[in-house]
Amino acid sequence: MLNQLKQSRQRWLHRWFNKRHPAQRSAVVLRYDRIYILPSGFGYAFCFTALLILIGAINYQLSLAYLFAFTLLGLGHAVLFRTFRNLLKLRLQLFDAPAVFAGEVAAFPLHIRHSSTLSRHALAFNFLHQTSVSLNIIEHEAKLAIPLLSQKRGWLNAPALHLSSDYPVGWCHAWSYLNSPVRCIVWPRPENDPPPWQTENNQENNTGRGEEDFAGLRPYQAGDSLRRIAWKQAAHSESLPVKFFNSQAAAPQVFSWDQLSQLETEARLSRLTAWILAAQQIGTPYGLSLPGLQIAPALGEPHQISCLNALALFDNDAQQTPTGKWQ
Amino acid sequence: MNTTLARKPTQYLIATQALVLAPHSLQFSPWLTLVLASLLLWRAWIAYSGKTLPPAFFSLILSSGLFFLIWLDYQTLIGRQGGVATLACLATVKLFETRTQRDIKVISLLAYFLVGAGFLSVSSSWILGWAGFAMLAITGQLIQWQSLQTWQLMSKQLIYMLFEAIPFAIFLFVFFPRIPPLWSMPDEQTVGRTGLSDEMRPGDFSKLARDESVAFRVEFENTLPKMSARYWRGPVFDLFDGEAWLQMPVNIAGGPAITARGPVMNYTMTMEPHNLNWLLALDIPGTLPDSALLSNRLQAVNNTPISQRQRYRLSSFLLWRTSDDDTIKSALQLPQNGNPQARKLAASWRALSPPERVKQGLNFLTHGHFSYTLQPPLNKGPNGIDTFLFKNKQGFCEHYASSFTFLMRAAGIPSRVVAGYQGGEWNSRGKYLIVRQANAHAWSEVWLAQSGWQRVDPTAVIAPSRINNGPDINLSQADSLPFMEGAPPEWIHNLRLNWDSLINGWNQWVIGYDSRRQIQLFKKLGIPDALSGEFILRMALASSLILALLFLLATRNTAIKRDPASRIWQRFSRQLARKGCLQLPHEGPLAFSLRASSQLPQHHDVIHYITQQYIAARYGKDTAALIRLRKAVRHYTHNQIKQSLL
Repeated sequence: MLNQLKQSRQRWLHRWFNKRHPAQRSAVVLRYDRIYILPSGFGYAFCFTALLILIGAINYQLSLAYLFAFTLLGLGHAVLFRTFRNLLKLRLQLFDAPAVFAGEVAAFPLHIRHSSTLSRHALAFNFLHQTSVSLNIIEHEAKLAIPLLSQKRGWLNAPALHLSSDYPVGWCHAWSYLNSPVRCIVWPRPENDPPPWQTENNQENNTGRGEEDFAGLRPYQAGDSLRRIAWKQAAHSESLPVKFFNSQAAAPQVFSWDQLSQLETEARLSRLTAWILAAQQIGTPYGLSLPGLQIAPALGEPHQISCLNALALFDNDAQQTPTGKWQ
Repeated sequence: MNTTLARKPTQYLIATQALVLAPHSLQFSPWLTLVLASLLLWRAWIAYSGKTLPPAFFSLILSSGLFFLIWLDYQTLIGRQGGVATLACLATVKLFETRTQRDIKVISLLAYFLVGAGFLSVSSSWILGWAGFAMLAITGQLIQWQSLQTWQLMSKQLIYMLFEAIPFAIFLFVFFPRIPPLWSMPDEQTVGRTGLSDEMRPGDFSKLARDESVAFRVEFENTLPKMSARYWRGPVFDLFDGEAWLQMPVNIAGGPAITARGPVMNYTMTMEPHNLNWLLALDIPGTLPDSALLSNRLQAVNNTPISQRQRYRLSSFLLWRTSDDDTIKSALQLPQNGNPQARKLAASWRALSPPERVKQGLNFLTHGHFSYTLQPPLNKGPNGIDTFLFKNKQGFCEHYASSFTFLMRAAGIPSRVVAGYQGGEWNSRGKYLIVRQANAHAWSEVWLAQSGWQRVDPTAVIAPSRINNGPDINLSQADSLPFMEGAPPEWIHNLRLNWDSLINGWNQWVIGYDSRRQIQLFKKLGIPDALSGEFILRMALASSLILALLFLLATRNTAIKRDPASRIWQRFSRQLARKGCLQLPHEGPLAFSLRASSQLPQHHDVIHYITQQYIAARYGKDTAALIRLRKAVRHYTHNQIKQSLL
C-alpha cells in the first residue's frame, strides 16, 4: 500500500517534471518559471538572528535597533532576489559526451551563455548524485564538462542536469534543472591482460612478436602506436617516420564472437574490446564478426570507433539511465 | 572539508570582527579591550603568515578563562554589559576555530548580533552609521567566501543590496506595530551619565555651566512661559552634611496637597538619557506620565531610570499653594557644628515673622557685595558657607542656594535646595524649547505657613540677568567663554538652532518613534485601527507592491541588452527578408551582404553602404557610423514602404 503510494507519487512527480522541464536538445533559457528557491539553514539562522535583535529592540525599546533589525530582514530579502537573479536568463545547452569505456567518467560538454550586464557567480552543476562542477564567475560565456559515471556498455542517457547557486551569501539556495536528452556511448570495459588471439594461419601469438620483420619507414598516420615511431630517424627528418612490418602485421585479423564460445557475453565483449585496442596499437588490420554483423578488416580510428560502437550496442537495445529523482 | 580555509576571506573575516568590536570596546573594561585586541592581532598574524591554528582545546581553555574573568569583573555573563562582553569573547575565540564553512557562518551570525547589541551600549545616533557599515562588511565577507572578487565589484553589489533593503526596512519601521517590552530586562547599573547628579557638591554646577549638550527639549501646547518662570524641577536636596547636599530616600506617601493658583501648562518633553530616575518638570508638576509618580518632596520620579531618549507629556502649575506636609521637620535639619558666623546672623532674624526672615536673608545677599562668577574661589571645608558669605563673596547658583537655605534653616524656616534647569532657548524653526546642561541651576524652596512650599531663587537677586536672559549672556559678562570672546555671532547661532531642529526631528521621528508616535502618524494617514482587517489588507497590498517593485529593480539588469547597431541591422535584415533574402544563422554581415547584393542587384549600393556602416558601428565602435547607419536604414525602410504602397 505504502509502496504503491510511493510509486504513484513518483509517477506524478515524473509527469510534473516532464511537463515543467520538457526534454529538449536545443538551448534552454532559464526563465522565472524554471527556477526554484528556498532559504538555506544558514538563511533561517540569519532570520532568527534578525528576530533576536528585533526582540532586543522591543524589550529595550530601542528605535534604532528596530531599524537595524528591519534592515537586516530587508537585506535578506535583497539576497533572495540576487540568488534568484544569479540563475535567471542563463542560456544552457548540453551536448553528447565523447565515448568512454564502461566504468569511466563521461564528460558532457555544457555551454553556458548570458547576455546581461551582470556577471554570474558561484554556479554548481551536477547530474543527480554525481560529482558537481562549479564555476566561479561567468562574464558572458563559459564551457565546462559535467561528469557522469558510466556503469555498463551501451547508451548512457544523461539524467536531468541540476544546477544551483547560493550566491551571494548562502542564505538562499536557488536551483533549476536542464532536461536535455543527451547521451554518451559506453564501450565495453577492455579486459585486463587479455590472452593473445589465435591467428588463422599459424595459430601463433602475434601480439608480442609482431615487430620481427622490419619492412621500412612510412610517415606517421593518426592511430599509429607511439612505440612504432622511429625516434632516431625522427631526429633527422621533418616528418615523423613510423616503422612498419611485413610479417603478420599485414595479415588482417578478424576477431570473431564465435571464437570465444567458452566465455559469457560480457566477458567476450571485454576481450574483443581489448583485442581491438591491441590490434589498433600494433597496427594489425582487424575486423569484427558478431552474430548478425560483419565488419571487414581495416585500420584507423574511425574503424576502431565503429568496431567499439558495435560491441557497445551488441544485443543491447535497452538504453541505460542512471536512477535519479525524476526519471 | 579542508582544514585550512582560503586565506583572503579569512583576513576579511578578522578585519570585520575588529570593526564590529570597535565601538563595544569603548564600553568594556580596559583589560578586556586589551585581551580582545591582542587576540585579534594574533589571529590576523596567523592568517597573514599562514601558520596553523592552535589546537581545539586552546579555544576551550581561552574562552572559559575569559568567561571567568568577565564574571569576576561584571558579576554576570548576561544582560547589557556582561552579555555583550561574553558574546564578544565568544566571537573572538571562535576565530581560532575557523576550520569549516560552518564556523564562518556561526561567526558571521554572532557578528550580526553583536552589531545589534551595539545599540544597547551606545545611544548616540552615529551608531546607526557604524551598524550599517558593519552589516555591509559582514555581508561582503560572506560574499567573498562564495566567490572571491575585487572589492570594487563587491562594494558595488553591497550598496545595491543596501538600497534594495532600505525601502522594505523603512516600511516595516513605520508600520510594524510598536509593542511594549515582551519581558522585563535585568536591572542595569547606571553608567556614563551627564547632567545633574543625585547630590550637590561644590563645583558641580560650574562644571555643567560649560556643557552645551542638550538636556531636554520641550514643546508647549499653549503658551510658552516667560523666562523667569521656566524652572525645571529636578532632585530635591533635604540633607546637609556640612559640605554637600544630599537627597532623602524617595518617598511617595505624606506629600503636601497642591492647590493651583494659576493656569495649567501642558507640554511634552523629550528627555535625553541621564540614567537616573527623575523626570524634570516645570514646578510644580500636576499630571505625570503613567510611569512616574510625584514624591512627597514634589519631585517627579520615574519607575525606571531614563536610559534612552524618552518623550513624555506633563502638566504643571506655575503658581501654587501647598498644605499638609510631613517633610517640614526634616527641612530644618542642620549639622551639629560649623559655620558659626552664618548661624549667628540667622539667629538675629529669629524675632521676625517668617516672611520677614526670608526677606532679610535676600537683603543680606543683595547688599553684601556678592558677585556671580563661574570660577569662584574655593569655599570648602566645614565652614565653607561662612567663607563664602563673609569672605569670598563670589559664587555660582549652587553657592547661593546652599548658603541661603542654610541661613533659612538656621533662622527656623523650613527650607531645602532644589536642583534642576532654569530657562531654555526657543527654537522658532522647530517651535520648541531647548534646555541645555548649561542651563543647570539650583535654587531654594522655603515653607511658609500660609502658602506652603514656595520657590526663592537667591541667584536671581545677585544676578537677575542669569534668570531673565539665560546663562550665555550672563557668562559673557562675568567670564569669557574659553573658546570665544562674548556671544557667538548671529549666523552661527542660527546655524546651531537649525541644526538642533534637524537633530530634534531625527530624535522624535526616528529615535523616539514609539507606539504613541505611530498612532499619531496612523491618524494623520487616516488609518483608524492598526489591527483592523482593512488595514492589514492594505499593508499586505502595499508590501507586495514594494516587493514587486524591488524585484523588478533587482532583476532589471538581467534583461538582454542588445547593441543599438545590431538592433538597427536587424531592422534592415527584416526588410531584406521580406524580399526573400534571409540572413542565415552562420552568416556574418559581410557574407550576407554579398549574397544579398547578388540576389537583389538593384539594391547593391545601399546594401553595401549599410553593411559598411554597420560593421564600423558595431565592431569599430564608431558613433558617427552609427548615426549614418540609423539614417540610411530609416531612409531605406521608408522607400520600401512607399514602393509597396505604390
